[in-house]
Amino acid sequence: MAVSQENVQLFTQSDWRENVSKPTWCPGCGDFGVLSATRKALVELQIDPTDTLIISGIGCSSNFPHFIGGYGIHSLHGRAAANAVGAKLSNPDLTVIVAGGDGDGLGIGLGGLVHAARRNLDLTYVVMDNQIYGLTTGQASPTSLMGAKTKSTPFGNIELPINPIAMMLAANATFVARTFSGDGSHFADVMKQAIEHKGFAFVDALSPCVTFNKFNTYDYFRERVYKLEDVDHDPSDLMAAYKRAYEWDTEDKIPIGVFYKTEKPTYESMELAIKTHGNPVKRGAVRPSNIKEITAHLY
Amino acid sequence: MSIVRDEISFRISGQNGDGIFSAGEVFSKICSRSGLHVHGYRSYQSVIRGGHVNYSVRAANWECRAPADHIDVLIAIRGDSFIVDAPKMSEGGIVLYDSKGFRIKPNEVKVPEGVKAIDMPAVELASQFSSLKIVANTVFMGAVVALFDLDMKVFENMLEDNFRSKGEEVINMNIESARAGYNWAKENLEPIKHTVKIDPNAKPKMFIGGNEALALGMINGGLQFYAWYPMTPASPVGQFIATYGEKVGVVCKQMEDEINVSNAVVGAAVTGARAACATSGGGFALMTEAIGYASMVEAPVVYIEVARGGPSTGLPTKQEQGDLRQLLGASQGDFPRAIIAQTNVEDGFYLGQEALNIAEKYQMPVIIASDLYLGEHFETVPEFDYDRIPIERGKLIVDEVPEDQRPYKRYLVTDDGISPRTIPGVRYGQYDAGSDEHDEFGHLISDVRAGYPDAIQIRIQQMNKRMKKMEVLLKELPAPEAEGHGSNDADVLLVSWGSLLDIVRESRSQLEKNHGIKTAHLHIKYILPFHSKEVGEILQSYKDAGAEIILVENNYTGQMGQHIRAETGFEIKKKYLRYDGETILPREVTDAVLDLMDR
Repeated sequence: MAVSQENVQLFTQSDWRENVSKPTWCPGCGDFGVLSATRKALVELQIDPTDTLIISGIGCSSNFPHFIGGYGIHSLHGRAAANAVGAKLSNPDLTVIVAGGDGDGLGIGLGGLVHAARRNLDLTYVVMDNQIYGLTTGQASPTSLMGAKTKSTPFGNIELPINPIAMMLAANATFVARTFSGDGSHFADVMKQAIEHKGFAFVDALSPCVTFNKFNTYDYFRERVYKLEDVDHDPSDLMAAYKRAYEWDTEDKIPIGVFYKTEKPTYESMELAIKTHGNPVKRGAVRPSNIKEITAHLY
Repeated sequence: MSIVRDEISFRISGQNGDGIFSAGEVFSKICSRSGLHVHGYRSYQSVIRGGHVNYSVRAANWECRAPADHIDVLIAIRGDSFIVDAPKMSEGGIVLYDSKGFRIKPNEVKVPEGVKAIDMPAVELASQFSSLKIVANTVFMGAVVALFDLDMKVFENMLEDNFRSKGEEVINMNIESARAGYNWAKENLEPIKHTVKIDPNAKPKMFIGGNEALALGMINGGLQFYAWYPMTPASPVGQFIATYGEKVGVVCKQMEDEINVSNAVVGAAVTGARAACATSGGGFALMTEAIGYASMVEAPVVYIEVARGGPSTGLPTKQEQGDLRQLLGASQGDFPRAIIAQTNVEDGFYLGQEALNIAEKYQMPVIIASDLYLGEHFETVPEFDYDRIPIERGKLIVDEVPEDQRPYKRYLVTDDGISPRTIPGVRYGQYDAGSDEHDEFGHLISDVRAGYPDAIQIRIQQMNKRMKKMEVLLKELPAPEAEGHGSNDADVLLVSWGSLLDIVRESRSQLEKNHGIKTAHLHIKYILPFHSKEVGEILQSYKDAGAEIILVENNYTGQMGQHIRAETGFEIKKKYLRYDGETILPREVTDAVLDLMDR
C-alpha cells in the first residue's frame, strides 16, 4: 500500500483497466477527466485494486465503477453512501471510494451523504457535479443555478442551489475539497489527499455536461476558478473555509483545492465490535463461542 | 363452582409508568423458575406516560404457547383496569385493587358475576417498608404468589437477584414487602384452585421474546452486520444486537432511515458480511427498492418485517398480519427471493440461522414475516440446540479465484442458477455488482448494448439463471403437511400462517375435547417459493372428503387465502378474519369455527 522507496510500481495504470467496460459518456464529458485523474491518484498511491471498492448510485457518472478496476458496486439512485457505510463497517481495511452525480448525492441521496459525513468513516466521496440531470436528458439538479433553463425549468430555475461545500462543513466532514475535471493534475492531487485522509473526505468535482448544460461549461469554470493553495488559505480554519465556500455565490469566484481538513477519530476506529473482534469480514462468519453469556439475563 | 384448570393465568394492568411490565416479567420468571412453561405478553399504547397497559402471564406444566382465554387473578392498579381487563376474568377469579392507595372510586369497581373484587391495602402495607409507592407492586405480587399457592422462596430469590446491585437494604425492604402481601393474602383470601404442580428446584428455562429469539438465532448463525432504524414493534431485534453485538462481534448500525438501512445491508453483504435488518410495515415500504436490488446483484441479505396494525401509521402497538401482500409485492420486476414466516418464539432462533443460510447459499434476499404479537411476546423455550444448524456459506470464494475460473465471471450461468461468489479482497475476483441488467462478468448491458441480439440473449440467460434459484430452493424447503386428522375423517381443516400456529393448535384441542369435532390444520411457513402442488392437493383432498375448510387470519382481506388461491387456484370460502388490532385468543377461534360450521 505504501509508495515504494525504489520506485518499483507494483500496481500500474493497466491494473486499473482490467475487466472494465469502455466508458459510455458523451465525447467531451467532464467525467473522463474524473476517471483518468482518479486512476492516476490510485496508481501514485500504489493502492491494490483487489482491496478497493468503488461504489456509485445511478446516473451518467454513476457508471464510473464499470470503467475502472477494483471491486465495484453500482447501486441504486441516491444510495451509494448507505452502501458504503455497510461495506466499510464490514471490511474496514478496504479503500472505499464513492462516486456519483449531483442529483444522486445532493438530491435523492442527500440524507445518506450528510449522515455518512458526520460518521467520519474513512472513505472518499466524489460528487461529479455537472449541475444537471444528464441521464434523464436534462432536468434541473440540486446544484443548477438560479435562472438555469432546463427541461424541468423551461422558464428558468427559481430555486437556489445547494452549496455542497458549506453543507459538508456543516455536516462535520473532516476533509472538504473541490476540484475541476478540466485540470487533471489538480484533480489527481486533490484525489490523492482525499484518499489518504483518515476519515470522511468529500470532493466536489466540477465536471461539465457538454450535452445538457450549456451554461456551466469548461470555459465558464476556467474563467472563474482559482486555487486555494495559491492564496493565503489555512485549511485547518473552519470559519475561513465557510467564507471561501460562499465565494461562488457572492463574488462569482470559484475556489478549488482543500477548503478544510481536520483529524478526528474515524467511526470504525471507535466501533466496539470491530475494536474487540477485529475486521468482521476477515474474521469470517463464525458462531460466537461466548453466545451463552449473552443469554444469562433471560433466565 | 368454577372450573379447576391445569394452568394459571394472571394479569396486571395500569398506566404506563406504574411498573406493569416489570411486575409481569417478575411473575413470569417466578413461574419459569418454578419449572413451568410460561407465556407472557404485554398490551400497550403509543405513549410514554399514561395510557392503559397490561401484562398477561399464563403458566402450566404443559407447553402453553398461546395467550390465555381467561384471567384468574388481576391486579387492577387503576380504575380503567375494571373497564379493559376485568371483563375478561373467569368465574372464581379474583381482582386485587387498592382503593385508597390508587384512588379508585367505589362506582368504578365492576367485575363479572362470580368474580371477587378485593380491596387490598397494598400501598399502606408497603409504606411500613418504603416511601416509594411502586413498592406496592411487590406487596401485590406477594399476594399473587399466595393466591396461586406458589413458593415464596422462589420470589424472594428473584428479588435478591434483581436488587443485588442496590445492596442488602433494598433487597430486604423488597422481601419484607413481598412477605407482607403474601401474609395478608394468606390471612384474608381463599387461594385459586388449580392442578398446576410446581417444582422450585427445576432447572431454569430461558424466557425469551419472539424478536429476541430471532436476534439470538442470527447471532448464532454468524451474523456480522446488522442495520436498523427504530420502529415499533421491530426495535427489540436491534436493541438486543446493539446491547450484545460488542460481546459477540456483530457490528450494529442505526441508520438515518429505512431506505439507507436496506441499502447498507446490501453494501455489507456484497463485501462479504452476513447482514440483516428488521423493521415494520412502514419501514419495509421504504426498503422495497433495495430488496429487488439485493436480488439483482445476488447479495445475501435477511430482511425482517415485524408487522403491526396498518394501514399507514395505523395501530403502531397493535397486532395484525396485514402486510403479506406488501411482502409479496415488494420491489419491481421478477426476481428471486424467499419469504418465510416465523411461526413461534422458539422457531425464531432456528429461523434466524436458516434464513442467513438460505440467503447466502442462494445469494438472494430472504424476507422473514413476523408480527407484533409474535415478536413482542415472551415464552419459556426448550433448551436451544446451538449446533443444530451449521453455518453454510454456499459458493463463496474467500482465497483467490482458481486459475480455471479466470477471467472470473461473477454471474456465471450454472445449472442451479448459483454462481461462485467473490468478495472484495479476493485476488482475480474483481467485478462490479450492478443493479442494471448485466452479463456474466457483471458488465452492464442496459445502455449502449440494450436491444442488440447478443444483449437480448444475455438478458434472457440472466433472468433464467436468477429465477432458476427459486426452483432449486423450493426443492430444499420442507413441503407443508396437514397435522391432525387425515382427510378421510376430519370434520374441519383450519388454514393459517405465521404467528397463528400455536393459537390454532390450542383451538383445535378445544374443538376436539369440548365439542367432539375432528380437526386438521394446514399451517403455512414457507410463503415464497410456494409449494403450490402440495398445498393444492391437501386442500382438494379435504374438500373432496367433505371436510369444512376454514381460513384463520389476522387481517381484513384474508391475504394468505388470496396467495393460496393465486398459487393453487383453490379458493377457501369460509374465513375467520380479525382486524381489530387484538391478538386472537384460542377460544375466539373455537367460537368462530363452531359458528362457521353451524354447530
